[in-house]
Amino acid sequence: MNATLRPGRMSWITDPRSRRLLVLLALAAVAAAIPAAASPYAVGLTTRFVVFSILALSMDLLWGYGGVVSFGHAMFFGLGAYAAAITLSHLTGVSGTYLAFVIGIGVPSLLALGLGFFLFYSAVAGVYFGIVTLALSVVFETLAVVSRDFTGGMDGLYGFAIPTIWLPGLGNVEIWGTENPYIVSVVGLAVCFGLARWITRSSFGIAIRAIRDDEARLELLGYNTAFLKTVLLVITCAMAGLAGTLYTTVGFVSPQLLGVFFSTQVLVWVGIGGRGTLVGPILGTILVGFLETILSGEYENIWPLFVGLFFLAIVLFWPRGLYPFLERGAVAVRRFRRTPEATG
Amino acid sequence: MTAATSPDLVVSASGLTKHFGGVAALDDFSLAVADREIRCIVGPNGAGKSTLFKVLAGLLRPDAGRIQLLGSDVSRLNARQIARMGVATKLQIPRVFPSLTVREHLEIATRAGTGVPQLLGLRRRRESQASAALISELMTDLDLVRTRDRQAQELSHGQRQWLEIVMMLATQPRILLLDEPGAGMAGDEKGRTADLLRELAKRMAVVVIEHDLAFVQLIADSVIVMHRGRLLTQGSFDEISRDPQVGLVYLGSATA
Ligand SMILES: Nc1ncnc2c1ncn2[C@@H]1O[C@H](COP(=O)(O)OP(=O)(O)OP(=O)(O)O)[C@@H](O)[C@H]1O
Ligand SMILES: [Mg+2]
Repeated sequence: MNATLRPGRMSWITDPRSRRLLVLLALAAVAAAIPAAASPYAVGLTTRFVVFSILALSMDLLWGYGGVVSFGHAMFFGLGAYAAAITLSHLTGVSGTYLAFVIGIGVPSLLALGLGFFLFYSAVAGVYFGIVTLALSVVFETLAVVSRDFTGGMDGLYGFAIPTIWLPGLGNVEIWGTENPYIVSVVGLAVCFGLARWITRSSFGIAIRAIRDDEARLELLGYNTAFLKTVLLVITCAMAGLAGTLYTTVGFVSPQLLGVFFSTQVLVWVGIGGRGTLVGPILGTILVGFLETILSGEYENIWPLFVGLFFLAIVLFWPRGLYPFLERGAVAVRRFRRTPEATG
Repeated sequence: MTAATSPDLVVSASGLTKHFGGVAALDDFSLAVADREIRCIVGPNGAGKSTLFKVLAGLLRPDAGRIQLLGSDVSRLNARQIARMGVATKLQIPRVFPSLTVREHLEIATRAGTGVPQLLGLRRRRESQASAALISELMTDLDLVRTRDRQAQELSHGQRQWLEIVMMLATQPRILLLDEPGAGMAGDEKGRTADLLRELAKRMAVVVIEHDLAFVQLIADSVIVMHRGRLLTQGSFDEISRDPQVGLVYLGSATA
C-alpha cells in the first residue's frame, strides 16, 4: 500500500526504508548542528541528558520489554561511573581510559549477574525484586558516602584523569570540553540504540516480552525464564555501566548517582516517554531533563513537585507515555493526507 | 495396574496421590497412555482431573506415586525439563501471550529450548520441515493465517484456544495434555477442534480433559472416568456411557 501504488516523485518518501534513512539523516544533521548552534552551557546539558538517555534506554529494555521493575537501576549507572572514575584516578591516558570502560561496564554487569542468579533463580520476582534493588541502592549510596578515602565521601570524586581515546587519523583525543564529550555520548547512544533495537527484534526480544506477559506459560513451553531474565539484567546493567562511564567526561561523580531518587527519575523519564518503545524513553529523558533544568532555575526547591505532577498527568491521560501518543498522531496525519487520493 | 512394561506406552503413572489439606485430589491414581492414542478424562467438578495434569507436567509434586514419560522417570524433573522432553501442556485456563502477535507465538515456540545465541540470531538453528509444514497446514485449516500479525489479545476466545494448541505443536511435542480445549467454544468451533485433535492423534499421544460428553464421543478412543481422585471406570465411550455407576456419579452430579 505504499510506493508501488503511488506514482510520482514523492513516492519514495512513503517507502518505509527510505523514510527510515531520511529520519536517521535528519537526526544526524540535528545532532551535528547542536554544538555549532547552541551555547556551550546548553551543549553541556544536552551531553548529560544524552548520557542519561542511554540509562533510560536500558531501563526500557528491562522494564518496558521485560516487565522487570527495578527501583535501583541508577545504582548500576553510579557503580559504572565510580568504577571508571576510580580507575582514572590511578591510571591515565588511552590505556587507562580503555580499562575504565572495561571496569565501568564490568562491575555493574557482575553485580547484575550475581543478583540474577540469587534473585531470579530463587523466584524473587515482581515487587520483591524492586524492593531488593531499592535496598541495595541505599547500601551503595551509603557506602559511597562513608568510604571517604576510596570514593571521596559526600564530595564525590573529581580531578581524575581526562578520558582519552585513540582514533585513526586523529590520534589521541581527550574527551573534554564541550564538543568531544557530546560527540562521544551521541555515538554511545546511537550504538546502544542500535543494540537495543536489534535485541528487541530478535526471538530473544519476543521471549522477553512473553516473560512480561506470562512468565509461567513461557516456562511451560520449555524456556528457562530465570536465565533469560538474568541475561537481560546483565545486558541492561552493562548499558547502564557504559552510560556511567561516559558520565566521567563531566569530570565529577557523586553519591547521588547511586541513589534511589535518581532511580525514580529514570522511571519517570521512561514512563513519560513511553515504555516499551525505545525512542520514547530517550525523548522523555531529554524533555524532562530540560524541563527540570528550567524549573529548578525558577523554583529552587519545589521543582520536583512540578515534575511529579507532570508525571501524574501523563500517567492519567496517556498511560502508555508520550511517544505512542505522538506515533498515533503521525499515523492519523498520514491517513488524513492519503484520503483525497484514495477517494479520487 | 503396573503397566510400565509395554514399550509403546508414552505415559505410565502409578499410585499418584496428592492431598490439599484434607482433600484427596488424587488418591492412588494410575494412568497408562500409548503413543498415537487419544484419551479422554472425564469426571465431575473437583474429581482431580486438572490436578492430574499439573502433576504430570511437573507443576505439582505428588505426595506419592511414580511417573514415567516417554520411557524415563520424571519424578525429579521440573516443569521446564518435562516440557523439553516433548510434553506440551495446556492448563484449564487458556494462556497465550496477550501482547505478542500470532506470528511471534509461533516463533518463540519453534525456538523453545534453544540457547540465547540462537534466540539472538547469532547462531543458526536447525528447523524441522515436517513441523513447519504441519503448523502452516493447521494455520490454514483454523483460519489463523489472516490473524498472523494480530496480537493475541485481539483474538476471539476460540482463536486463542487454537493459537495455544498450535503454539504447543510448534515445540514438536510427543505428548499433548489438553485441559478442556473446547471450553467456551461455539458448536462449530468445537467440531473443528475435534477434527484437529483426531488429526493430531495420528502423530502423537493426546490426553484430553473434557466435560462435554458429546465432544468426548467425537474424539475419544477410550475414556477414563475419575471421581474423588480415583479411577471410577474406563473403556470405550459406549461402555462408560452404559455404566450405571457413571450415570450416578458423573451425570448425576452434572445435572444436580
Ligand atoms: N491449589 C490447590 N489448593 C487447594 N486445593 C486444591 C488446589 N487445586 C485443587 N484443589 C482441590 O482439589 C480437588 C481437585 O481439583 P481439580 O482442579 O483437580 O478438579 P477438576 O477435576 O479439574 O475439576 P473441574 O472439572 O472443576 O476443573 C478439588 O477439591 C479442589 O478444590
Ligand atoms: Mg479442572
